[in-house]
Amino acid sequence: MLTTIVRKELRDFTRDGRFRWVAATVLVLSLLGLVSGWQYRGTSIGLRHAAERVDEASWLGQGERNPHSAAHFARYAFKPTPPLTYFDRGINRYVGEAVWLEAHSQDPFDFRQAEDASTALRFGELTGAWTLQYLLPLLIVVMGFGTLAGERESGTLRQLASLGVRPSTLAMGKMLGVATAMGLVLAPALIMGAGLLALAGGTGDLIARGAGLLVVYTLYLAVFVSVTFWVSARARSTRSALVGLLGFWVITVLVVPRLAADLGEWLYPSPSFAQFYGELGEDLGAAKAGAADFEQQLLDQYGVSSREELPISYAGASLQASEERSNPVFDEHFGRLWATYERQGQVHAIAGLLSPMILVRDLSMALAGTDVSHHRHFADAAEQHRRVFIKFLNDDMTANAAGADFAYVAGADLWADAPRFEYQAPTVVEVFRPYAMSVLLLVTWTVVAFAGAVVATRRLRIV
Amino acid sequence: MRILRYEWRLLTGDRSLIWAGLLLALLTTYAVFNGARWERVRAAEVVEVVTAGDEAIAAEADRVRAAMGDIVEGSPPGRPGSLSYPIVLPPGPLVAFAAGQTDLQPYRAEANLFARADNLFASYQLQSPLSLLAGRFDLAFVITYLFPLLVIALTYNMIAIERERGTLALALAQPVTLQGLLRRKLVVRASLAAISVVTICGAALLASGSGGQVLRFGLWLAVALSYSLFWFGLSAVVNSIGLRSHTNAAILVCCWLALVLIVPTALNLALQASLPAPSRLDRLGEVRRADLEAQAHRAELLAEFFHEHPDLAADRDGAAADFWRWFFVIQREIEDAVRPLDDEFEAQLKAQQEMARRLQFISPALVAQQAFNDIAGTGVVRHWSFVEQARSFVGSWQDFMVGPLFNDRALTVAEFEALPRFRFQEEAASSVSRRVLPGILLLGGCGLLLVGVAIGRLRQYPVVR
Repeated sequence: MLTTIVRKELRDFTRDGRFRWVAATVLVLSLLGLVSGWQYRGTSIGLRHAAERVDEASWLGQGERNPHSAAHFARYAFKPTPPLTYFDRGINRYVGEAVWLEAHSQDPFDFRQAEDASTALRFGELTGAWTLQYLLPLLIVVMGFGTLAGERESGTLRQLASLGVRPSTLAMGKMLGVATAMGLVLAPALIMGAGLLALAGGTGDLIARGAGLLVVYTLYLAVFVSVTFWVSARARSTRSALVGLLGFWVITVLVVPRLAADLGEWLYPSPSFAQFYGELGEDLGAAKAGAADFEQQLLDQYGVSSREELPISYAGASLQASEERSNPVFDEHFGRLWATYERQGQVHAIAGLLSPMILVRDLSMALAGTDVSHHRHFADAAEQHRRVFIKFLNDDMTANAAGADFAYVAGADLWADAPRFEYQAPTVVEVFRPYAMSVLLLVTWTVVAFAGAVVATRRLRIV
Repeated sequence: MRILRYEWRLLTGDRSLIWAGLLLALLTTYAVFNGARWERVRAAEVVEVVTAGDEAIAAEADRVRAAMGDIVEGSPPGRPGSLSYPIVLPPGPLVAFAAGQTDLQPYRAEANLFARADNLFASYQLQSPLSLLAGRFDLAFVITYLFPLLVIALTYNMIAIERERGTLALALAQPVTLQGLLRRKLVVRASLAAISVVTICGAALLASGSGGQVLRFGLWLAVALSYSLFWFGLSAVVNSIGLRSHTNAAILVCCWLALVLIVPTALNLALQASLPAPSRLDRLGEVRRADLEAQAHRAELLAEFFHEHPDLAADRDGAAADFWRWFFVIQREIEDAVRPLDDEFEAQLKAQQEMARRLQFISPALVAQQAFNDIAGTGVVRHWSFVEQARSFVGSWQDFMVGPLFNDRALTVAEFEALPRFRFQEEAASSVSRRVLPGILLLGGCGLLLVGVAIGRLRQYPVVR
């Protein structure tokens, strides 16, 4: 009986002009999103490689100079493009692509693509993820809103009941029908996405991420199918079912995400640039002022009475000491900034109670490696490297510039020996912890919506 | 007149419509409140930064006055290399209405002797990337995205419902034509929408501190009203086809989806494919190469500089030993080396933005959004104007300082008083209106045209099925 219902539903869909249009749109857009995403990924990788080569060449070819002057020239760390960027660009365009590893200062990221985009960017980017998050639910609504209410209105529900079909079987069959139709519409995009995944490397971590995305979007689909049937079973007419479902879509997909973002900013405001760097500068000043007796300590340590008698470079030692006094200050201030972002993220996640779309968006970014925690992982690694790199230069000066200080120059050998930045992107397991609540909420949404649909169809009014 | 009154009673009797209206009112209130908050945050920051800049200058002038040639403690006062002045873009006149790109684009810089055009705006904002991604919940969002949905809910069944209830034939038995009926129904709903638009925007004006912006506010209303008119026209045409009411609703929602969501994102895609914004990573390499080059040839650069500015060559030997004078010359050299690349970069960026501007006409939502940003002072044009003013200010700051720098002297008290200070020159509202007028005319014109088409089509309307 169940398969008969599913088959009948599928036949109905293929005959329905509306469905054909909407399905074709979703199919074309999802494929287009994937293709352009793949292109974007390729361009980003190419640009980064080129920039890395130039950076390496400039660093090695800077000629003879003082190591501290080289530390001011420094190098850049370029953020790698996560393989799944082709599916979901996440926050990529809104955070920078590179960070300068200069002496004295932990810098913010440079080169945010969004700054150079036209204002149309704020309408969203056409990617695979965008299509699934925005359009997939709408497709389900368009396909499903009339299934139960429509049969009731046309009187066929009564006929079916007289044949002994249980309402719950009927509803289940119809839900499966919608879900299968969705699967068929998305199958080409799914195959293409999987193929690109293999092209992108196909490592175990990537496969785990791909599988995670499949699960997340399947749950999303299940939520919307269930809600659609829930409403369609309870609604007095197809019209009110349609209005209700569209309202649900607008609120959960369009309104709540923006509301949550602003609410997060309101409850936990991000500091302004002036405020952040003003406070940072004050604390840095205080940290450095507290170290006035550094010279005396150094003299005592070496048992000499003046800087000139030191067997090491005073300038080099004091530069490194100043770095070490600054580092905890950077840790504190940037740590606070990240904590603010994290709290704002929690506000988003809580708003997931009202909108499964927020949950899916967050989880999708996390799995694609384009979320805030992946960005932070890179930023932290780059900063740790900056400290090692600057210390290497300061140490060289301390050891070799005794008496000469800033007049000492080093050459190509030192530049070649300087530590290179080798970044290992985290596996999905490492960065997924903050998303436990989002997973829980998404599963809750699915269970509640499905239960609601089941209960509503059991009590389905036949007339 | 009687029809109008009955229509009004029917509309206010529809519970779901009342709920939708209430929800929209609630969201609008939040948007207005949120916009006003954003404006306050921004305005306060600007005042704070400028005050701090002015105070720092005043304090330095006091130190010069107190020193009068004596040796003072700390750094020598009034040295041109240590002076700077903040360049801040004040929030747009109607930023509370449309935040636009204000949470994203750089809005402050610092003028000093060593600033270069290519890295002037390196310091940027620290808004959470998640909220940048989501976009702000402002009045422009409510009007561009949500208002059309209210219009659709108000109008999708203007005639079809009468037919479905069987009252259409009855109504037409009265001395009224179908065209007249549609016209009156449209008038009732459109005036309802217009009243809400004016109320909403008026409330936003009161809540924000933008009371003096009469012309801009008028333009804003014109855009909002003509945008609504477009949706009324579209709905009228769909109504006139003669389908069932929920088919009308589905068609209109699909139109909304296409015009408000799909077309803008697809346009993004097309723009990026055909005219990709240049990458700043590419340029970075050039800047660093120029930096190394200039460092390596600094002796020649300084000699060249003195050749070009013989008036500054009095202290030639002092300059050769002084880091700051080196540094100044090196920065000028890097700037000159990077300028061609920068010009090319900006030309490409502007070409892309210009293309986006021209292609906006494929979606009324894009037209409305760009016009809203322009009027609010949060758009692309104002941003470029800020960039240009900032660069020219840095130029005049450096011209002012270069003499004292090369003569190795502090600024005099008189010079402190004559110091240039950055004040942003706002574009005149009238020139904004010239820019947004085509959009307003297009939206309004399309709306009227569509209404006309709808009324024409009604002749073939299947009154009874």
